[in-house]
Amino acid sequence: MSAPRLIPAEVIALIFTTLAPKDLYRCMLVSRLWHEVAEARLYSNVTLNSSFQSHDLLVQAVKTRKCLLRRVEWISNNDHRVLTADLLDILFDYRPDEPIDPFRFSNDNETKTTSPLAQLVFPHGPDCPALMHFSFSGGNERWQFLDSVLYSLTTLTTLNLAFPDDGGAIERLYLVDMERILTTFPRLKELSIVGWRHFYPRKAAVALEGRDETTGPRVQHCLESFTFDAALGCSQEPPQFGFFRRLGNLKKVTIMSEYFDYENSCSRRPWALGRTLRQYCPKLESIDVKGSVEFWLFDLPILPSDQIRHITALVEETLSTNQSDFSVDLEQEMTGEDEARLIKQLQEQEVGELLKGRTAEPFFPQLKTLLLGKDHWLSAQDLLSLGVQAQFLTRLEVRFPVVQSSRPWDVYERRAPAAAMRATHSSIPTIDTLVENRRLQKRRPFTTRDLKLFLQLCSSLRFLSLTGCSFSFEDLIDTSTTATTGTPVIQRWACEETLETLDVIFNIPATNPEAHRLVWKHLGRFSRLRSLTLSQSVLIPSFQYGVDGLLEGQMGKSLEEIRQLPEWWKEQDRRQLMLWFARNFARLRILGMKHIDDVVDGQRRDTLSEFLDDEEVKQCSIRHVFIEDK
Amino acid sequence: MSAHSQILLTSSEGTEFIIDRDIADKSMLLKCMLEDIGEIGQAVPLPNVSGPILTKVIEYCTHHRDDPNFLSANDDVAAEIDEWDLEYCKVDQGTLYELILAANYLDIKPLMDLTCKTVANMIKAKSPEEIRKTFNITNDFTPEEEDQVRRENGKGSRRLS
Repeated sequence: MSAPRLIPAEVIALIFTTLAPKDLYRCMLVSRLWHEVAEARLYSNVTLNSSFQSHDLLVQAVKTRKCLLRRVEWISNNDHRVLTADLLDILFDYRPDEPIDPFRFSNDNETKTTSPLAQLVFPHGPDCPALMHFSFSGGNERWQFLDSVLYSLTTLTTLNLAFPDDGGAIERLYLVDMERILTTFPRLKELSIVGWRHFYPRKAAVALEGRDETTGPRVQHCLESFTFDAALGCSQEPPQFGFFRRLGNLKKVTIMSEYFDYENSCSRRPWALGRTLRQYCPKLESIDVKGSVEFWLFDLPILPSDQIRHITALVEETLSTNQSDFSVDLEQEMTGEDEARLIKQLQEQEVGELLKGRTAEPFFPQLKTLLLGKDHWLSAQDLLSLGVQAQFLTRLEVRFPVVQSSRPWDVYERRAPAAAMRATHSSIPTIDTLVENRRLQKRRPFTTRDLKLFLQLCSSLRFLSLTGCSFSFEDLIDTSTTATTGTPVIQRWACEETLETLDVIFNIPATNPEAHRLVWKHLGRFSRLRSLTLSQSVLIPSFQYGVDGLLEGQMGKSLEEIRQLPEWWKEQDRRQLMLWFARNFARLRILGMKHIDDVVDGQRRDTLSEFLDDEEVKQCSIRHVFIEDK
Repeated sequence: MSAHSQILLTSSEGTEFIIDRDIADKSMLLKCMLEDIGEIGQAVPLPNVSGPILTKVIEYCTHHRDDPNFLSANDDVAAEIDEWDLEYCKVDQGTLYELILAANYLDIKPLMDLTCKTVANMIKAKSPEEIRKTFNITNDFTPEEEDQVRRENGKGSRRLS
């Protein structure tokens, strides 16, 4: 037998990706080849944090191997003076004669250019051609350091900047120059700027707007993923989204908000961001809203000018009297008859335009994913527009409780939401502002009824998660068919053929077994469903309540996972039910159910655990049975 | 897209393999390709993978065809390797290296994790001399070089990454 084959270098490199540093150090001593590969791996990804004990040694080691650097993470803390000098030393062989004292320099943008550090120029950049990822995280700093390092790293493809709140003075904010970032890093694919301690230049944005008209269309940047804080959306007039017109290749937008109090700054122009993205970023595939952001996806139809004449008149009247009184409810100035007529017109126009669908202006034609965190502002109108226009939407996640309301679809918010007031307080109202306020007044939070309409329209969904919003039986039934036949019929969802993951809450009264039967049957129609989560649902998984309706369609062949199966099942049913699941769902591997404490003969017994020890249950196809929330 | 369609693959020697679409989908390379260009009915050439290795790869994908968490299951690095997988990896080192390269090329992450972990386990907690013995490697450092590497390590920039 021949000697074992020598391990190829490329295999070593792949294996080293799974090894911890301490193993890699040992590997360096094996042979020259192993040394080379291990060293490249070790120094490709470096985190600099001066609070590390061995920081100085690390700096020396990295300095001589900077050509290996691919990813540098710079965590700036109180020792940042040392660290900054070290970073300059590593990247540019620059070691200042005396320690750099950042507090010698002003943070004022006017004097920034004259500060000694800002004048540090490293025209050839650092000698690390492979450096592609750079992350900075730091608090209360004078940011010139960052700039002098950052803008020399022209080869970056990923840049993460984090400016967390460190409790420092509020005026110490980092100025983000998007134009400079986009120009300096032509290969940048991912950009993330989070933490609220930064701001965007105002004057530059204005200048850009002016310049742009004369220079025509801009060269598109290759940036694909952009994460920013809601602070960007908080801008006042004029909109600071000028740079977005270079971001035609953007595919993914993530909006963070770590600063909770946006009351006074953020709510003024909820329409601007959505409009900008719609206009300049046609390739957008994913929108992920992580915090409290007022963000409209869609513009509602504006009223024709003859219909806003009464508003115009009212503005003039208000302006001539007292501006602070402007927050009067516009609708109240109209007679009841006018109001009723106006509302009717609005409705007809809106529903008509919404449902007319794709003939309207393109609505994120590529959008596939929409994730909404809490306190976002997705209105009923936005939701319906999505259903009609986003024909590739495959993933919708709404992680906040929808307002439970029995109001019919055709009632508009009587009063403008608070945002309208803030909008008018912030600046002198113009006709434009008023038009936007009209839209604002028409917007209303969506209810489960709107969701029903949405689900009737949207036929491409594969992933749907609506945690926090609960469907009652009335929210599910098809009212028109039910009215003609006399017996309740559940409204079909358009995604029956496509949906793979469903996470919803049903709240069906236990007194109505027939309703449960219909809902289980409804779920059974999802022929490709692989994962079903019924968190917090009241939906009884029992044969008396028609759980076998799940086998209505093809789900028996596709379902792989059931989570949060409601606890409302009778003890004698459980074993039978489990075996039924095991026998009828060939691919079911995971069954998660709510924990139940049973009281038998006055004593608490954990019957579910006993049940799990049952031999017959153990032998079934379900690999993981577990109890949720225990 | 039919769930039961079949895909034709050819290995580096030109041997043809017919596999079910859902097996092919375990490979991100094949999955993306099939999604992008559709099933054209022609054989997909895999010039980087030999017949015996491809057989082995298909064996793995077939065994794991119904794993619901195929892509996320092995995220836990410390997780135990299950019995079947353990048995699967009992092959000579040359085959193991070929498997790593094939898994990397075909982009089958769980197989990649499994095979890399198997080799990594031969490295972990071993002295350099033991590693050399395991992998039949000659120490080609001069004494001075070895001494220098040792010194640098001794000072240890151990807080890297």
